[in-house]
Amino acid sequence: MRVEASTWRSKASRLASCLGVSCVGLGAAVGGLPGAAVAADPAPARTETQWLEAIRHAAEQQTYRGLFVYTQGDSMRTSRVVHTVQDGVPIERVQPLDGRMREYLRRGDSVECFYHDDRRVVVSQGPRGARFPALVSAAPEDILRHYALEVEGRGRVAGNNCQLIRLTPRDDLRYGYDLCVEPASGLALKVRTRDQEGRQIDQMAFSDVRIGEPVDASELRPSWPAVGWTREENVAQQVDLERLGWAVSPPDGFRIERVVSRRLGEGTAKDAVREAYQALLSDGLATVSVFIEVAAAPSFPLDVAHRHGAASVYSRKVGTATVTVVGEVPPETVTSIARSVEFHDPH
Amino acid sequence: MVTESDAELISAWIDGELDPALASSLLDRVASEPGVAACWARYHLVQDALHSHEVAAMAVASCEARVAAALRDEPAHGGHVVNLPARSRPRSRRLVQGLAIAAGIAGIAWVAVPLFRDASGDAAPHGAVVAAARSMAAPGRPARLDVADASGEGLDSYIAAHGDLAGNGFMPPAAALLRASFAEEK
Repeated sequence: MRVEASTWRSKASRLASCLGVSCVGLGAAVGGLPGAAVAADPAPARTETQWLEAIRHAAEQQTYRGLFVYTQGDSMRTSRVVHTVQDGVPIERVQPLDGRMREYLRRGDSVECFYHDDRRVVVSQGPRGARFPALVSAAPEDILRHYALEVEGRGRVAGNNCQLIRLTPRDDLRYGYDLCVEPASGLALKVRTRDQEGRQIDQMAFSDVRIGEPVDASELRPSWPAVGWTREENVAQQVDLERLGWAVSPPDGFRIERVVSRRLGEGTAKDAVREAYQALLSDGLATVSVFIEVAAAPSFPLDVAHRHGAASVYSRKVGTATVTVVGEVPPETVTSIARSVEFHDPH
Repeated sequence: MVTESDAELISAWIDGELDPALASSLLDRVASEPGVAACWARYHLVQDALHSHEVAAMAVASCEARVAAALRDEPAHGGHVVNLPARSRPRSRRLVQGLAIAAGIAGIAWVAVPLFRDASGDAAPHGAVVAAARSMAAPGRPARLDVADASGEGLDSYIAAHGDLAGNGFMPPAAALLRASFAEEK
């Protein structure tokens, strides 16, 4: 099946035209853009597993920079992203261009968040040796057991030709994804997450990207020297949940990738700092976090599925502890995971 | 002033097809010219109507009834359709049903969505969105859970902590951070 890159635009144009709505008056043509034509150069011949391997390799190991647009509902955020690899460690600087003035600098598993207005730096450090994004840890064959991959037509994103790839879940436990992948590098230029009914959950896309050009060290320095700023460290420690008496049963296709003990909360009156265990579950594409707070007095409703942005959330009490499950999966999935959590006193 | 060329540029940008050299100046104009910004908003609304769960923001009873009636009147929803489990239904029939539902919802959403925005232009709460979406689920789907909007419920620290460790799988690791910070700001 071939899907043209401008499918939705032509639908939108027809809809707008049908309803007599236009930015420049009735009858304005909004389709047929110059420069929107898709070149017909062939994509590299890859198997389904080779496509997944190429995409995951590019996300972490390629050097690229560009403008990255996140869209959810009718809201949109644009960020400048620079990504490279030094001594085998992925390094990434992210500058959101709207909202609060802040920047993120990720080196491997360490993330520094610079909050300009608060003159504050928050450093989150994961356990050594753990690697993410989640795709890295799952074999493509495992992913394909739970998603059907279809290589479709050609598209064009940010001035680059790209290959349209559709990943459709084989069950209702996870969302689907529509990707447009730059064929030579394997970098995903656009990813649209869709729910079981095909509605868009969110979309991430480059609106401008340069791939493979060397990155100067100055591009990886934060915009502010952060001298005199408050510095907060949040170091996660690896823990063994089973030895602590906790059991989490992942749904089909998901497995527990890592479990850490860490701090949650901003330390404000509304968001007090507290200790929690965080188990990260993944099916290779979607990730879900299970938070267990042994001593917590939740201020939010329990036993109700919530949606927060693209994430589904479900909380419940297990004994005196509060279990909260968060992930970009359907609400039914976080609910099922939360209900699977059990505690058996190991002593 | 908004020209036909502006509309074309915005349409191409939303589609991710705009030449990067033109994108920067377009963004500047969206930020500085109300007319271009309004055009931008209209095109995003069309996109929402076609793809986003926001199209389900018609949770007001009277409107929901109109949606239900519109869906009922769609030929694909006549008495010939057997409510088999979605996975076992022939793909072609699911596609036809999907298109019919999308067309019905999109057409009504075009008119209805603005009615559910408050004066500041914010969309209807997600709780309402999800409730409406649930009520309009395609036949044969398993019943969905009641889902509430979590904005302002004090769940931000979980979203942020999830974003620290989670990856998106396809995109730069930054994607998970941006997703989390977006949810926090909402």
